[in-house]
Formats: sequence, structure tokens, C-alpha cells
Amino acid sequence: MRKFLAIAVCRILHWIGKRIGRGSSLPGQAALKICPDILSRVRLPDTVIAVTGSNGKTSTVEMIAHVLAAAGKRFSYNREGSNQIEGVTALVLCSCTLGGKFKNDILLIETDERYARHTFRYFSPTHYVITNLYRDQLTRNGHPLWVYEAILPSIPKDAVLLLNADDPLVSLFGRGRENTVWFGMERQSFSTEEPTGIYDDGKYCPLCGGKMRYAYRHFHHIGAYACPACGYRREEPAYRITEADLENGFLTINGTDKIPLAFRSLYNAYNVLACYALCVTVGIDRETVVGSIGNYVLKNGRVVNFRLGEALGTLLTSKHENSVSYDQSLRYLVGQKEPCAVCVIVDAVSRKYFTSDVSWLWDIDFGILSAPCVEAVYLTGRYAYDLAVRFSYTDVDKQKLTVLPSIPEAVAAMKSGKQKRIYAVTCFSDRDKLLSLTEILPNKEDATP
Amino acid sequence: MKIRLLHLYDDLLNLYGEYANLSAMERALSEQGLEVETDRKSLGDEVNFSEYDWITLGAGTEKALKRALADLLPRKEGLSTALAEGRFLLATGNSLSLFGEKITDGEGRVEPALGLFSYETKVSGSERRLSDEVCQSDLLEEPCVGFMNTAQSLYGVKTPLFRVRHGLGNSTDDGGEGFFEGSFFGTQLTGPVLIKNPHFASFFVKKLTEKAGIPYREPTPGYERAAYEATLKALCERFEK
Ligand SMILES: [Zn+2]
Repeated sequence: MRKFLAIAVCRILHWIGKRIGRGSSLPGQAALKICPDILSRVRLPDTVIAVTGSNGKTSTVEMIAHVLAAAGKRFSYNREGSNQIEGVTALVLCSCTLGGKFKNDILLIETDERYARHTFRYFSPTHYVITNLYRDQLTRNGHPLWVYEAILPSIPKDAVLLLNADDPLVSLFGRGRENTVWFGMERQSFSTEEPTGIYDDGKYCPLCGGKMRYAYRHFHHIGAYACPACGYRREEPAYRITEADLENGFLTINGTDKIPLAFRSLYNAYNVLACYALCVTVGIDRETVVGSIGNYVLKNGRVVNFRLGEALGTLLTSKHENSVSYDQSLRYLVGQKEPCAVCVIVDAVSRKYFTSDVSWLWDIDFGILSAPCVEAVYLTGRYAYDLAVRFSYTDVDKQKLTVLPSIPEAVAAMKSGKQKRIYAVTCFSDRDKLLSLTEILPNKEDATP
Repeated sequence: MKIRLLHLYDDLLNLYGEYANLSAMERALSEQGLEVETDRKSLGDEVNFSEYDWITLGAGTEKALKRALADLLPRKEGLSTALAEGRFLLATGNSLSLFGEKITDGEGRVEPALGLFSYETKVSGSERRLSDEVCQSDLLEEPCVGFMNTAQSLYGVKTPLFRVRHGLGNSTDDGGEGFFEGSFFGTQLTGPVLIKNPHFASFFVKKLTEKAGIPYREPTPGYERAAYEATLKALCERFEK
């Protein structure tokens, strides 16, 4: 009876929320209040896929959903922002009959890494993808090892674990474990032997604390590592990017499967790889996987093209408090080699909580912007001066900087600037403050203009 | 005169951008016309603490801190001598716990720390203390801003460096934050504390110019000052509304 009530209330609240155009955690919350163990009382499908990690969860889940749809599967999945237990509860109950039977073949869940153990207390994923563990939102998360410890109890013994073999901390989840599928990237022309970031989280072995050796790195601590002291090393991946041609925009997986990249960043390459590994593992034929990822258009709006006066702009959404995300955006835009202006906005550190902490700016390699193609840099938002201090410790020419805390003033300055090409780098929390002052252009097939 | 700076465990206790505290000191000291040299030393490296005028170490994971402690214990005497000689040491984040009596870890195991000072530390295995901070020190004319990101609490601190105006202290029911004695300064604030608080950096710079026997020149206010004011304003608006 409680089960019936919980499902009914959840669905009614969800329906009302949809009618008034407001999604919230309320439907899930109400259901959990009526029946705290509701998730253990519903009949779930044979395939329950979970995706977690610091970066790329949403993109990977969106892409998996796209492939599942192309393969004709019936599935439910949560959209960004509802990845804690309330959101997952609402997702599950709204896909159930009132009797508590899940109506689709597959349940696909993006789960918040810190709260995964709460979400998976009453049911278990059958396939669990962990993308990476970076310095991410440390004002909430503490540090990557703390997050590792938080994820650990959420991993069921009998689930198939799909792990990024190139991330030494993520790989630790699969150590000595059966049912683990590894994915990774082989050495590429852009791989380096020395670390390239401001800090090095791959310096010491996460297992024994010994000094690690890398045959190569793709970025930060992501690469082929081995610890001479204890023997911990990168596993040979079953699914591997054999070629990542970012210039021409395609990947080759396992030497044979060529996939065009909707967005030509390394970041996205790993999302594609995780999606590929998962989809093939759950039994979708390779042809369908390759074909559908190939025609996938980035839908989550991370990349937005806009017009500002005579200039063409591209917003590269980057996560505040996440230096890997920023570094990837900076590398990407410099890699386009077009003369351009770059605008960095830090106004609200998060849209979900308040903090004034900008320590994370010091982990970002802003020196990347000293490339000659970057002709002007606009620093704006409430923390524009913190950005200016950070930039004063890089090789970026002071003459190129414009520092204006007011975003409208900075946008006006940019509009009257010489550059006809603009890249904006900022977070979801701040991007609309820029976009609302521009003319947003429809996304093209290929998000790279 | 050459001023020598040491970033201790630069590759281990550098979780929130603490390396920038060295950058701040290097720049501020150079602006005073002093020659500056910075060393970075970590696990197993040979170090003579008495060669340095100013030493700092930052925050690390709980695991990293234990490894730093094991490495530091046999060096206790050298460290203690350097402090007795009046060499400055700034410990930020959880590294402050290394210098107390003992540390109780997340699983309840008690380990002796360096024992240079009488406070003790308790580490939680499940809860972190996370907060923006505004705090005031008698040594500084203006408040300091920052962020605390730690799983530890300090008990038995007799001479805290700061009084907490907003945020968390050494432990839950303690209005004090950090610790100081002689030339030792500790705060649980994390990250580039001296970048965020240029007046705190100036405090050390003044001490070092005195030591070098040269007159201290007020630095021209730059973006650092404006950034500090913006953060202080944001925090006061938030906490005092
Ligand atoms: Zn090892």
C-alpha cells in the first residue's frame, strides 16, 4: 500500500511540476518520505546502467541514450541536475506501473559521485561506468581521494565495472576484481612524457605512495602509469582509442572503428570511448554504436555559438572549480589557431551553493593563453580582479588584458574590440550573463564553427 | 641580502593551489629590492631548515599528510632549531596538525605528531568541515578571508592566530582559528592564503626586510588589493545579511 501511495504521489507531483514548468527534487523527496526503501520494492529491468565520475557524466549519459535509442531500446534516463537520490527515485517511479514494475528494458542513471552510495543502497546497477576523478568542486568534495572513498561503498560486487584505465585513481576500483572492463587511449602525437598541468596528481602511486612513472600522458594524470615500488600499473584496455585525430575530427577505436567527433576535444574523445565501451558491453552491435555516435549532435549546449556585433563567438562551457575542464577549453581554443579574443567570466562560483573561494584559479594553466593567436583577453565578473591577479603570474602579455568586473561593460568593450572571433570560457552559473547580451546562433551539425 | 624560501612537500601538500603562497612572497620580496631564491623539497630530500628564512607547507589528503609526518618526524630537531633561530614557518590547511602533540586519524588510531606545540588533532573519516571564512588577527590590521576545507579539528590551542568572525574555527565550539608562537604561524585556511590576503603577505615581508636591515616600502596597491576587497565584500554580504 505504501509502495502504491509513494509511486502515485511521486507521479502526481512530477506531473504538476511539468505542467507548471518546474522540475524539482520534490516528487522524489515525497516518495522517499512515504516509503524510504521504495527503490528496493520496485521491479527493475535486467540492465541498470550507472555513470559517475568528476567530468563528462552528463555528456556520456546523453550519448549513451542516443545510441540506445538508435538501437531501438526502450529506456529511461535522468537529465542533468537530478543525479542524487531524489532525482533518481523520481526517474524510476515515473517509469513504473502503479504496481511497481519498471516499464522499459533499460534504466540509465547519471549519479552524483559523492552520493552514489545513498542512491545505490536499495538497488544496484548491473553496469557501472566511472569516467575519471579530478580536482572538482573541492569546496564541496574535499579532494579526489575523499570522493574515491565515497564512491567505493556504492560499487556492488557483481556489477560489471567499466573503468578509465588511464586514470590511476579510478583504476584502483578494479584492482584484483573480476567483471571489470577497461577503456583507455593509446599514445598519441600530442601525448607527452612530462606532466603538463600546473599541479601533478599523478606523481605518487595511489596504492602505496611510491613515485609513479609514466610512459606517456594525455593530460594531467591521465596516461600510462606504472609504480615501480608496488607494481600497480595501467591495465591493458579492452576498448582503446588507437588514433585520436583532433585536427580532422575523428577517433579510431580498436584499430577499426572510425568515429567522427562532434566536438574536437580530448575530453569529448573520452566520453565517446566510455559510451562505446558501455554500449558494446551491454550487447549493442558495433555497427549501430559507431553509426549512431557518428551522427550524434551535442545536445547539452556545452558549446554555444553567438554573434556579438561583427564578431562570431563560441562559448566553451567549462566548470568553475575544475581546472581540468578549464585547461581543456583553453587548449581547445588555442588549438584553433585563429586570431581571437578570449573572455573569462567568474561571477558566481556555483549556481547550486555559495562560495567565494577562488583557490581553483591557481590550478588552471592560464599561461596557455600566451599563444600568439590570443590577441586580447577580457576578464570579467565579480572575481575579475582575482582573475587579473592570477593572470599576472602567467606569461600572458599585460597589454592584452582588459579587466572589468561588470559583465555588460566587458561585453561592450569586446564588441568594440578589433577581434572578429571570440571565445568565451565560463561555467553554467555565469554563461547566461554573457549570452543574454549576444545573439545566439543555432548549433550546426559540427559544433566547431 | 638574499632571502631563501622553502616550499616543503611542494608535490604532496599542494592540494588547493598553495604553491601560489610562494609566488606571492617571491614577488613581494623582489619589489622590496631583495634577492629571492626558492627551494622545493619533498619526501626523502635532504634539507637543512636553518638555511631558510621562510618556510611554508600546505594542505594535503589525509593519506599524504601521514606520509609527510613520517618523513618529518626524524627531522624534528632540525626544524625545532630553525624555529628557535627565528626562521619563519607558515603552515596552512591541515599541515598545521603535524606540529602538535598527536593526531587521531579517521579510524581512531592515535599517532604522535612532531610535538613542537601542545595542541592535538582529531581527524574525521566521514565528515569534512567546509566553509568560507572571515577572521581577524591581532597581528594584522584588517581581517583575512579564505576557505577551510578539512576533515580535522584542533583542540587545546592556547594562542590562536585568528578570531573567527564568520565561518569555522579550530574545532566546533572554538572561536579561535589557527595557532602562532614565536616565528611559527599556522592556519587551517587552505589555498593561496597570501595571495587572497596581501596584507598577510606584507606582514611576513616586513619581518624579512627588518631581518635584512632594509627599510620597508609600502607596495603600490594592485589587483591583489581589489580582489581582497571584492571577496571580503561578498563574504560580509553573505554572512551579515
Ligand atoms: Zn605503488
